[in-house]
Amino acid sequence: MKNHLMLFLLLVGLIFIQACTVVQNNSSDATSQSKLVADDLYDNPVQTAVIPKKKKKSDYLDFQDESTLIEEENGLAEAAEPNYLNSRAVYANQYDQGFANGFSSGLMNANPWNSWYTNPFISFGTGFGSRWASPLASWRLQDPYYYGSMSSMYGPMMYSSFAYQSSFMMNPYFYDPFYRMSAFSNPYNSMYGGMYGSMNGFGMYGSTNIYNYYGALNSSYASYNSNNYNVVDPVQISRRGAREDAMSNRYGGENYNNAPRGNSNSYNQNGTNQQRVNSSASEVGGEAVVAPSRRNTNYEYRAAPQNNSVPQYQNRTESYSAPSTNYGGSSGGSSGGSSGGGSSTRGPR
Amino acid sequence: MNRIFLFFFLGLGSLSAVHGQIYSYSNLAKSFSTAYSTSSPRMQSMGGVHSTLGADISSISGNPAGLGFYNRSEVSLGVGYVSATTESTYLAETSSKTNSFVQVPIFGLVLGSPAEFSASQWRGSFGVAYSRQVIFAQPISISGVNNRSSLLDRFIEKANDKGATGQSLDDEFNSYGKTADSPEAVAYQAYLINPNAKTGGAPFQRYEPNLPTRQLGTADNEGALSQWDISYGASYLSKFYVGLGLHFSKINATSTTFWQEEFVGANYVAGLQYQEKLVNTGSGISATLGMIYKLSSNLRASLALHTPMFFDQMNERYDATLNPRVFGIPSFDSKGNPITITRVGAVKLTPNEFTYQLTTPFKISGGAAYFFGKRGLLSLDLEYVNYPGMRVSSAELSATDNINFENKYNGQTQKNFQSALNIKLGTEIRLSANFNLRGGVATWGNSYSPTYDSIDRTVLQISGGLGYRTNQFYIDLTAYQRTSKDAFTPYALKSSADYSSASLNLTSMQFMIGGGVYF
Repeated sequence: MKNHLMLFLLLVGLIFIQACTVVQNNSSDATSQSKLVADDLYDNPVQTAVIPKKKKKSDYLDFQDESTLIEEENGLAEAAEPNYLNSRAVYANQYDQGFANGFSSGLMNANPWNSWYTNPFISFGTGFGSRWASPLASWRLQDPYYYGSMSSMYGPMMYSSFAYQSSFMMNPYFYDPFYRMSAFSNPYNSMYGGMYGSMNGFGMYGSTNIYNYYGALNSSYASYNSNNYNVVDPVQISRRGAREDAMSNRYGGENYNNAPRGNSNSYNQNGTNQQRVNSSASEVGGEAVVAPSRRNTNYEYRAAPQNNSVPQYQNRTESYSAPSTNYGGSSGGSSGGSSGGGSSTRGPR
Repeated sequence: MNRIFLFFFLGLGSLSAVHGQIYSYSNLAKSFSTAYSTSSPRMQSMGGVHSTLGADISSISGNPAGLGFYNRSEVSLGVGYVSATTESTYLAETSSKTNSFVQVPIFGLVLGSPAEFSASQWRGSFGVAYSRQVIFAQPISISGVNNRSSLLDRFIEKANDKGATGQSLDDEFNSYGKTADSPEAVAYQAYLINPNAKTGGAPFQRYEPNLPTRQLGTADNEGALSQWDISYGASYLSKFYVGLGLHFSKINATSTTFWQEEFVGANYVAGLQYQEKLVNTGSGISATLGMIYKLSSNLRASLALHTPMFFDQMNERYDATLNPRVFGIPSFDSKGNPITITRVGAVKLTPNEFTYQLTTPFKISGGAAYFFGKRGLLSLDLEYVNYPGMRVSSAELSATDNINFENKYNGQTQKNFQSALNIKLGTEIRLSANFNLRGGVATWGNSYSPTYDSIDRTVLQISGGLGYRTNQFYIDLTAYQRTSKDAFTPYALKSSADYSSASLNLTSMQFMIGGGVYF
């Protein structure tokens, strides 16, 4: 709190000094402003003495006039004025026609021999073809059903010696650890799962992939496909509804309630943290309650040998004695212990 | 001296704010509605005053009328290093935990109007910004030796209260999904609590309840309420400014609590670990209408109305796992042969999912600023937040259930919260042509009603910063420290003598660097 006070006083002091400074500078406000950089928080927009008049259109050149007439901004371009040679309105029809021709030509007549766009091998010296695919997406280049694939079944390379079943070689961005491995051994590029792309067919998980919705890598169904009926999803169990009605609220529904806690809802003092004595002890006659079996069987156990029909359970038999003072510190507690009849021995922790 | 200091601020208004636990829906709504630091590094250094000042990226999310001050366009970005520390005292033991991370609290673009008047007397600027309104970062760590109780006692009370039996708790266990429907059933399936041998039900028991329990608890919060703001602000004759903003918000909040117990000197059950995770996601929309008026060349006043933010669909998911650690539990196998259970696997609570609608409180902010020519300024912001107006409802529930849901949690909201007044005071001094020095203080008013509890949850923030500006760009450095008090109760029992709360001292610091380019 003292630090806050100091800072606050510093702030007040700065404001005071500032006020003094203002008095000194008031008389030469204009001068001081000119020294400061522009700051919209302080500066007003500059109001010109005369609102500039709109330039009138003239058909004659005025060499004294240095202002620039921008026709589109002044709405002049729309007027029918064929004498303006700097307007493309003069050649409006030709311009549109030229664009349409170029567009149509580029769209309809392009082929790998005249267009870089459709020829992946025209690289302009950049090292990458026009249809360069990122390493992340490069798997599609192996997809024979994908038109842009290196070994596309629709492309001329499909049956060439360069592409047929060797398309990995043509894609420098894809490293195939199973390159040219036997189709039956390659878990990713199976002859059946890869080339012909049957759903999960002999893919990583065999022909009946029950684990996920992804087909064999390099197959045409390699990506996510929800149609894998072989997958048996575990039933997702969840409850719906307001959480605190049925679920745990360890905090009793609210953060605190000062009602049971006196007028100060603070933590209990150490003095009240006294050891509990015999409160709902589960031991009966010195023996622990035997836990009844229950549905959850996710446990490990040892058989408890019986001695005269009395089970000899193998829990720890450490004795605990409380420290003589309070229990706020580390627990004291002597321990001594031998195991109670079982074969295991556990020493003090 | 401290009293004088306190008296000064108490004179400005009530002081406290709350870092409540977020598990109750009313507390969740409060958590999602309390924004502390929402402005640019420049305004942050002045205590967060931005309602009246304008010409700052903060105007987009705050008072959009401030956009009318722009004479040029700007791109701005702020980056902050947050360090949130909590010191706790639980059962006479002191612990501390810190959460530090880097974030981008704000960035945006303003397309300003030219510096000259056009033929019209109106000028205007358009702004788009991203801002993080609420950051969920405060961690908690507590530890101590509890001689009175264990978390298991909480589960035992719940089992007793609902009249459970061993059979009924068994029925709550789904053998296929390996989950149990209630935490007491989870504790039962973990072999940590047992029914009374005679009744088969209540009173449930646990092993060696008289032993002291070494307890360790942590709570971690992460996520934010972030929003995209689209605003337009206009000025009339550089005298009157008005603006309208739309805000599209997104909540992504995760709270994880971890509770560990070790029974000192135990022979049957060594301890347990209980972990809970609550994830809340949702998106909302709100609007702001703001005005600023220049009373004179040196004095400005402002007013902004912030509509409640409506979250159409808040999705939450709650998971919990109990991991028991046992030495040896006497039991029977399925054939009735006596066995000693030496290890029990983790038992999960059946995940709970829920969708609900959330409406945050209505806010009014305003203030005044005095300019010392162009050499500096002093600004005061006031913000009134109507916390009792927070509402939750659920279209997922039936009409009757929804009414019960609303009555329960909206009733809690109205009972536990009160309207709050937040006060911010900041100043800037232009030391030279390029350098600015800034400072500020801010308090967040008490939003918990006096009947809730008596903890003094004062939130006080001190901030300062330095700015360098040219006609083309600017760089701002800012630091602030925010302190408050709170408390944390890991679990509650019927007898207040049996459980304890931890007192918390919360500190949140942020170092920010921001900059912008004019064009």
